[in-house]
Amino acid sequence: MLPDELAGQIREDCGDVLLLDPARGWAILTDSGQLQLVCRQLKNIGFIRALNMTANHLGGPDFHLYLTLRHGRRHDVSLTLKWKFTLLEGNAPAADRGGEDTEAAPAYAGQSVHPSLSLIWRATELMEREIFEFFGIPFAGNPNLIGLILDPQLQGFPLRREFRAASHENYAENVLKQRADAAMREVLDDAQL
Amino acid sequence: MTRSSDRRVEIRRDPLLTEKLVYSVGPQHPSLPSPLELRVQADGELIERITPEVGFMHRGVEQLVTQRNYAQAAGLLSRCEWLAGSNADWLVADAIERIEGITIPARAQWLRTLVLELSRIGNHLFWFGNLGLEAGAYTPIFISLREREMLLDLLEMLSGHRHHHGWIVPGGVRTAPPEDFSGHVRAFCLWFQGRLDEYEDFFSDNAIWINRSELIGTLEPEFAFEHGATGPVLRGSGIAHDLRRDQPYAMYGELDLHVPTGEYGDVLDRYRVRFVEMRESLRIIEHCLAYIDNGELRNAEVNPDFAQMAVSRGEVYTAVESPRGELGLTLVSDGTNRPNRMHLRAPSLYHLFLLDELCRGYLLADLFVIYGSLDIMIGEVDK
Repeated sequence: MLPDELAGQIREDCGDVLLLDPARGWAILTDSGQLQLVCRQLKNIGFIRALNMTANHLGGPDFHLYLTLRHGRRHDVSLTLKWKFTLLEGNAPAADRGGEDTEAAPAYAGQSVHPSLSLIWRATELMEREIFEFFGIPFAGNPNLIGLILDPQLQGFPLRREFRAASHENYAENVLKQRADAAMREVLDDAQL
Repeated sequence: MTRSSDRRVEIRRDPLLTEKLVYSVGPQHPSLPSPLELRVQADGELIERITPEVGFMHRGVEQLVTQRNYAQAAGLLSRCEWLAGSNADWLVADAIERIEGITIPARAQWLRTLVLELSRIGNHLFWFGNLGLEAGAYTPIFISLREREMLLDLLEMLSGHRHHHGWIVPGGVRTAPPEDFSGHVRAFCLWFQGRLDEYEDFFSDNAIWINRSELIGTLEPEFAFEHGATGPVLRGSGIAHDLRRDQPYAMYGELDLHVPTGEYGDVLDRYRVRFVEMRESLRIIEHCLAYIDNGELRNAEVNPDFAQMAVSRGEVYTAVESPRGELGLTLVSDGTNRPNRMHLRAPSLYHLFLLDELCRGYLLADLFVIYGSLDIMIGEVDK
C-alpha cells in the first residue's frame, strides 16, 4: 500500500503515463516508451531497490513485464510497475544463450530490443538475464546478457506460449505409437482367433 | 572482541608474474551441498574472481506450474525451497487470497505464523550444521540434525509430512493440530533453548571459528542493498529490514519483533544474526501457542477442494520473509484452476552472485566459509 503523500509525489513526477492503484501498490505504465524516464523518476522519489522483475508472454509478439520496487528509507512501501512490450515480428534474437566462451552480450543493433534498467537498478541485471533466457526478450544495455540457468544448446524460449520441448514431442509421438501398436496387436489377435 | 580492519588482501601483481589458475569447483564437490559450479580464478592462494554456473538442477518449475492446478503448483514450488517448504505454500495461498479478497480466521493466521517460524528454525539448524562442515568442524551437523529431526516430528504431527507440508491452503490451514500439539511444541522450545546456549558455548565463542569468520567475506551495506540482498545477508551488513516487521503478514503485525543486525557485514555477523533469529523464532512460537487452540481453521466460504479451485483473473506480487530472505511470487491468474504465470523470486540467486564481490582478495580456504554464510539453496536458484 502506498501512503498518500508518496502516491501524490509519484503522480506529480511521473505524469499521466502511470495509472496508479495506491491500495494495491500497483501501477500500469500506459506508454512503454516512457519506461526509462519513469523509472529514473521513481528512483529519485526513493524507490532505490529493485526486488523482482519478470515477464508473461501473452502470445505472438506481446509480453507483459512486471517490476517490483521497494522504497529505500521506508521498507514498508512496495510498488509493482507493469507495462506491455511488443517484440517486433521477425526480429526475435536467435537462441544464443552464450556458451562458455561468450563474454559479453551479443549485438542487437537494429533489432527490436527492450531498454535495460540495469543502469538504474543494478539488481535488474540478473532479472533481465532470466527474462532473456526464458522469453527471448533482448535488453539493450545489459552488460552481461547471457544465459543463466538453461542448457546453452536448448533451442527456443521455454516460457513462450508456443514453446514445445523436443522431448515432449518425442513423448507424444511415442505414446501415439504405443497406442497404435496396441490397437494393431488387438486386430492381429482377433484375426488369429 | 573488537574488529578493527578488513582482512581482505589487496591484490597486487608480483614482479615475478606467475600464471593465474582457474579452478572448477563443482558441480559435485564435498563442500557444496547442492549441484553448482564455481569457476574460481586465483592468483596463488588469493581469489581474484568467481563466476557461478547454475542450472544443473533446473526442473522447469515455472513452466510446469502453468500446466498444473494451484494445489499441484504449490507442491512444485515448495520443492524449490525444500528446507522450509511452508513458505512456498504460504506464498501461493496468500497470492490467491489477495486476488479473491479472502479473509483468514485468526486461529489459522496464528497457526501459519507458528509453522513459518518452526520452518525457519529447521532451516537455520541445517545451515548451522553445513556451515560447521564448511569450516572443518564436524560436531554441528550431528547435533543440529538431531534437533531438526525433533522439529520435523512436530511438523509431521501437524501436517502428516516432514518436508513438503502442503498444510497452508487458501482460506486457512488444512487440518487442526492434534490435541497434545501445544505441549509438544512447548517442550521442544524449552529443550531447544538450552541447546542454543550449548551451541553458543562450544561454537560461537570458539577461537578457531572466530578466526575463520571474523572480517572474512565482508559485504558493504550499500553494495548489498543495490544488488538485491535480503534476509540475514542484508541484516548482517547492518540494514534492519525484515518483511515480518516492515510489511507484516500472517500475525507478525501483532508481535513486537526484534530485528537483529550485524556491524561489519562479515561471516561472523551473518552467523550471529541467524542465531539471534532462532532465539527470536522461539519467542514468537511461544507467543503463538496461546492462540492456536480455539477458533476457525479455515474460511468456510472458500472451496475446500484446493485442486479444483479456480482463481479469478488478477495479478499480484506477494512476498514472505523466508529463512534466506525475501521469497517472492508473481502470480497472473486467468480465471481457471491453473496459473497463467508464476514467477518465484529466489533470494539465493542474488546472494550467490554476490560471491564474486565477497570472496575477492580472500584466500581460497575462505571460499567455503563465505559460501556457507550465505545459506544458498540451489533449488530456488535453478527452479
